[in-house]
Amino acid sequence: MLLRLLEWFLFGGVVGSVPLIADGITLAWQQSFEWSEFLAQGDALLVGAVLCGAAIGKLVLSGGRYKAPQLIATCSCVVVMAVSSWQYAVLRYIGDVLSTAYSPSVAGSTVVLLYLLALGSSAVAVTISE
Amino acid sequence: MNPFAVGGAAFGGFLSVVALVIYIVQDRASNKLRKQEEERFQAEAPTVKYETSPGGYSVRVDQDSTLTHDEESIPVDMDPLDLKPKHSSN
Repeated sequence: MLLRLLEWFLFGGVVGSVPLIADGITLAWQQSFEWSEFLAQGDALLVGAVLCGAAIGKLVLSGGRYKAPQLIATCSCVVVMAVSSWQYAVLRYIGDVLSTAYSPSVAGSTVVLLYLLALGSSAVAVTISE
Repeated sequence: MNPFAVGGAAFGGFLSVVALVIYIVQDRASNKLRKQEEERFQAEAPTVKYETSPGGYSVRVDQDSTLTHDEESIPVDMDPLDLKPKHSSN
């Protein structure tokens, strides 16, 4: 179980976040870099949705010794993935149009929350899958 | 924060926690059952003991078993080569 979780963390969590880290480093060189504006772009939501999708795939292919928790974890990943995708669409399009209601700090904290939940849900799913 | 996003995220997180708790409970119950099965199997298995015969051979001695020495193994006081009492005269 620990080996599976380590494999997921290294090749899902860390390697999956490399584009995000590269983007952050590139933006950090600029003088007017703001964390909230960087997070409010919503790219972390895409990484979280991909992690959830991969975890759903693992659960679908896994054995059926723990059927009930596997079903609940699949549902959890689907919910987090759907909310992340929807929030990404909101940030990319509606947020630009309604710029008066668009607050980078609020959007950034929403993105961080959803990203952490996507990480947690996929970690639980990978732990439960066999 | 967007209330719908926060609500959806909270629901997803809650489901994850529920799944993890059920998994832990089921895993512990399964491990406990497996351990009980192993203990029961070991308790029912006959105790087998090996002794070295006077001739230097390793001889199996059954204890707490329905099998007798005549059926299963060579008695300790017998020579395993010719199955005669070792110290008996011909």
